Amino acid sequence: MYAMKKRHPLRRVMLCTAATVSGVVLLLALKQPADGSASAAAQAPAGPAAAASPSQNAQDALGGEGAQKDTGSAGSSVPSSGSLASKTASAAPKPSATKSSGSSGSGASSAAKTVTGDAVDAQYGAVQVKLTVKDGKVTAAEAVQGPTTGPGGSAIPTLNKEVVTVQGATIDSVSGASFTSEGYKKSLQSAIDKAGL
Amino acid sequence: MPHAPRSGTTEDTRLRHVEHTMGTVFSFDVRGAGAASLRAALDAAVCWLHRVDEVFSTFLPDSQISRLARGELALSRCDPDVWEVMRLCEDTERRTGGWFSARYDGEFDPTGLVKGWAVERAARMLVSAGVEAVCINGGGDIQLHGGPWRIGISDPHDSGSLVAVVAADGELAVATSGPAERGCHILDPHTGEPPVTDLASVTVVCPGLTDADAWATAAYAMGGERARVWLEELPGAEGFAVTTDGGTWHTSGFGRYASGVRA
Repeated sequence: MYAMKKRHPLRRVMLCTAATVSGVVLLLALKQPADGSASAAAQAPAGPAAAASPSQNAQDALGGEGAQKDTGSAGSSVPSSGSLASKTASAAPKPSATKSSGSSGSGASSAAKTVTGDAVDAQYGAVQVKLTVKDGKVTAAEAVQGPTTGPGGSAIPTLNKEVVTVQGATIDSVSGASFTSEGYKKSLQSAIDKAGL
Repeated sequence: MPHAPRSGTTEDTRLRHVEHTMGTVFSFDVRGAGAASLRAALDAAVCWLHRVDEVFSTFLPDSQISRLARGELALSRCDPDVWEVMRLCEDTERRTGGWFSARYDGEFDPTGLVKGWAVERAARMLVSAGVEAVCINGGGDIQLHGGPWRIGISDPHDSGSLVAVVAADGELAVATSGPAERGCHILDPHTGEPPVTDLASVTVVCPGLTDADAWATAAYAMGGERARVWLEELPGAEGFAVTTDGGTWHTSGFGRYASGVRA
């Protein structure tokens, strides 16, 4: 995007933190508009535009090309941010990608953050989930991409409801029947890890 | 490996880490020590998990377990950890009335016990290093120390949502068994076939994850009423189950941990 933005000192600070979770936190910064989650999707396109070369690799970082394709057509914006996160995760934690932080809050601990999981090609279609985290608590969950028919179709609204009302407050971890590395990607645990404060 | 975050005060340092090993994913969430010592303790715990994989993996041809099974390595020359796990497997088989077994086709295969044992040990390593609160999730099975922690139990019929929430403050393990995510990897040791069960998942809550994990596996294999009665009588453990028709049941003491159960 703009070269000047790339040299913003704030970014260096953020990136140090980002290294902790292998760059995934970059996504948080990317999706940290001042007015919360609502405008996240609108901001997201800045990501891929800024990181032109990463987006080439986005496809394999995402795992399934099918998922990438699907989400691309569905949202045009949000999926790209998911793939950007995957990409930066594998890249060195040096300032190479860029993002726009809506507010200049350096210690934005009280601001709501949104985090979007990778799009995953599930049995009944691509699934991608966005969580809104405020003060360490999941305050909302939203499917940005998901099947609308078949057994998976009903899962998304349930997730949205359960995350907010059953948990009430923070859920630190999720116990469930053993998952593999592959299954982890689409697990709620993976979303929690990504939202990691 | 990621570096420690530079933010955070000494009293309230919190580190998260995700590690892939043993064919699954381990999520660490630790807090309450100086950043440097927290990082060092976490590194040691992660190393430990990889070490366990090297010794116990049945997928690695050079692991001690693989060589032991092929008769290339005498038990006496194995790592003492192998002896310990073998003893734990025998104990567990006895305590579960044979419903948990580490012998598959006559070969010693401790896979069903090793992960929980490794996580329990890793958590204890962190506590020994001065970490105040530890949450390690190994492929869906969790060992906790300190807290408070809130653990969601995944709905086996809908992996994106929760059926219950367990609140913990102190040493506690939460393990869930079922066919949900891996296809059925549990066999009835009496028949060698996937168990005939009306359970979609069973969760066991008790202090240590070695027990919780193996007991959940055994209870799942038992199925239905047998599992319920067995868990009810099992000292120091509570159980929660979701049935294939979407219903739930739990042992009489489970309410002590549950801070929310789906109606």
